[in-house]
Amino acid sequence: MKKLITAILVLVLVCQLTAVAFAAGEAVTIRFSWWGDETRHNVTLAAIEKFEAANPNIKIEPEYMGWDGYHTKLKTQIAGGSAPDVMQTDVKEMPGIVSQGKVFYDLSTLQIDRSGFDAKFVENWGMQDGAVIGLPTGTNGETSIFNAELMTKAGIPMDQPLTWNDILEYGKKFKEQFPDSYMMLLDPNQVELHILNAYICQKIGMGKYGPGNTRNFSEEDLVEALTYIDELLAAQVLVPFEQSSVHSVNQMENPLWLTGKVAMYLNFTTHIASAQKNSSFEIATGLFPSLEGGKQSGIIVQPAQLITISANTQHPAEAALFVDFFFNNPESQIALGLNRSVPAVQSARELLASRGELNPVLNEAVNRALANIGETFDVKTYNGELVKILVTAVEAVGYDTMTPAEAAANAIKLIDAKLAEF
Amino acid sequence: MGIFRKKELTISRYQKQGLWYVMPFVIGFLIFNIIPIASSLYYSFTNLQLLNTPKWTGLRNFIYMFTLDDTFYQSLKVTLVYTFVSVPVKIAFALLIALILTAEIRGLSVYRLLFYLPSILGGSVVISIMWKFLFMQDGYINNILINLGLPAVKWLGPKMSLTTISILQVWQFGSSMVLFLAALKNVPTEYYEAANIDGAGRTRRFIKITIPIISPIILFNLLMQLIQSFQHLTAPMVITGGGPLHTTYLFGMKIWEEAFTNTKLGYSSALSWVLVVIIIGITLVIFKTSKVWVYDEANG
Repeated sequence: MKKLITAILVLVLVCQLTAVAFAAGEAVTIRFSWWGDETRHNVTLAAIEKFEAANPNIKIEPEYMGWDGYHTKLKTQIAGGSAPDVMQTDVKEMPGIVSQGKVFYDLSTLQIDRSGFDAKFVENWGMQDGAVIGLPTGTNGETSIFNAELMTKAGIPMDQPLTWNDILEYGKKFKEQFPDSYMMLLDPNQVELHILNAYICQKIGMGKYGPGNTRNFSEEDLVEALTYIDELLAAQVLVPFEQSSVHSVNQMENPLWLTGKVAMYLNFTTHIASAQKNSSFEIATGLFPSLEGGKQSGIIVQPAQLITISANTQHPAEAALFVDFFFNNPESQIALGLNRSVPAVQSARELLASRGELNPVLNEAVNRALANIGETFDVKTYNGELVKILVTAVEAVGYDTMTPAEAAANAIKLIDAKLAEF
Repeated sequence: MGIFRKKELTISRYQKQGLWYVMPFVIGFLIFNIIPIASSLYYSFTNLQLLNTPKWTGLRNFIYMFTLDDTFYQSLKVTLVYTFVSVPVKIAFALLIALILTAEIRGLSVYRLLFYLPSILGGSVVISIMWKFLFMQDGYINNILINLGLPAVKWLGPKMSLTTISILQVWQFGSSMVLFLAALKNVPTEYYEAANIDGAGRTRRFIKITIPIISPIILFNLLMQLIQSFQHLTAPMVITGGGPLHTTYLFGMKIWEEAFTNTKLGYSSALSWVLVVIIIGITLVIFKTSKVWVYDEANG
């Protein structure tokens, strides 16, 4: 009798487990990873909810975190063969990842409507060897972000283009007027990209690096740019690095900015939303600074992020369905809003404009950057090792351990050695 | 034939049972320790990156490390300074607090717990973030100094950042302190009584009796702290990112950066093995010298 009862119980258990397995087998789970702040997580989860409601047999498993460490984790997952099916990826990280093999699916072979994207934008940023490996979420351009109230109090115009020299001169007068405040806030990494890189590119009229191991800028160009940065710090126009580098993850959370003690910030337009959300004062934007007599604007316009699909995904069709919904479905477009900057898809821009949701400040800044886009630069501008060499040079000048000439000489030597390895 | 006979291997039932009991550990040790270590050694001689098939490159990684890597020597120097300054200070501090706690004072167990807590929490990211906010330019420490009429210190600038990281390391003296407490309690009181009779003062008793008797624990703490210190990563990564100007660029950070930022997994493996050799070398030197200064009760 006991044996009979045991046998019946085992049979029931097996049947139940089989039923569960069958039920689970019908649903497909897609892993989607992204980085961002709380706002981005919420809007993205809302978009996911809309997708799941429309596609009950597809479950999206969200994997989200802050910016810090995101790509380290992603690269580790890629190396271990456990990358998420759909990944939000940073433009700067793409060259390093794709140089090592087929990591991303060719989206042109999947059912994703790409007609709403600017073809040139996708070609410049989302293609590798003829394959579409990533689609841009939003348009991101370098811009000046102002504390409008403080700029007005200081009498500094926001609607006129400012040159680097203007910033230095205005900054000196600003410091006399507001001894506890600073004209500009940037940490060493941001100085390297938004001042040093811009200054040099504007001066030479092209990107810092060319194909292969070509260096387009001279040691003198670098000395000039570093000297300018030195002057900004010496005149206390720029927040000292001791105070800015601590908040390198998000300068919009720097107490100096939050308490209204900084007049301007240079970064991509994707930071405007965070600035507006965190700041108790009005935010305005202006054209990114230029070099007097410069040969180009040097303004970088790039995707805010790229959405990619893993080459190893087990469910490419379902992943493509989600990506298509993410970009093109009106419910998703409304949910995501402008969190990833002005959408790269035209229908999304039109929809948000019709609803009065196109943030005028953000939209204006993006259009301004697009109208003044600089020459396309070589991806080596974002090479981690080359960037680190220049950041070290900026820090050496900023912390007074080297003169601009010494820092430039050292950096050029290291850059050339690194370029020889490419 | 002759004098050599094959010895039959017989395993009793109990021994077989014992083998089964240790099997989970053995399998786990093989999978999670031996195989990864062996793989790492192999990869250190290859050009392994994120996805490529590793190709044997011989000593190329090591040659690059010693001749072309512009941050290798800086990282090594920073790590050696950090280790050989902060570890002795930490051990000395731990011994000092342990000596104080051997006194008969009220609330002793509470003090012991409070002093031990940092060594549990200290290695975490949360504490490192807290440390950053304490020591940043407009952080709490500088606010206190300013209120006391003293100038603010650039705790996270190039000159002081390594000291700031080292203070965090020293702050976690609790685990060493607990070992010293146990060792101090086991020093036979007859020795102190005899020394008292001979007229030895407190300092002489400490140097001639306490230190020699607890020297095995000093050796243990020294070795453990040195080995751990060489591998530290969390504090410099969170607080300073290895900067400014590579002044807190500990070797652990360099290994991590080469692996996960530059995706040079083969080179990172080579760096790891150089670290292993350095740690083994220093450990051997300490063991060799310990014959001079570590008291061996068995051999007098």
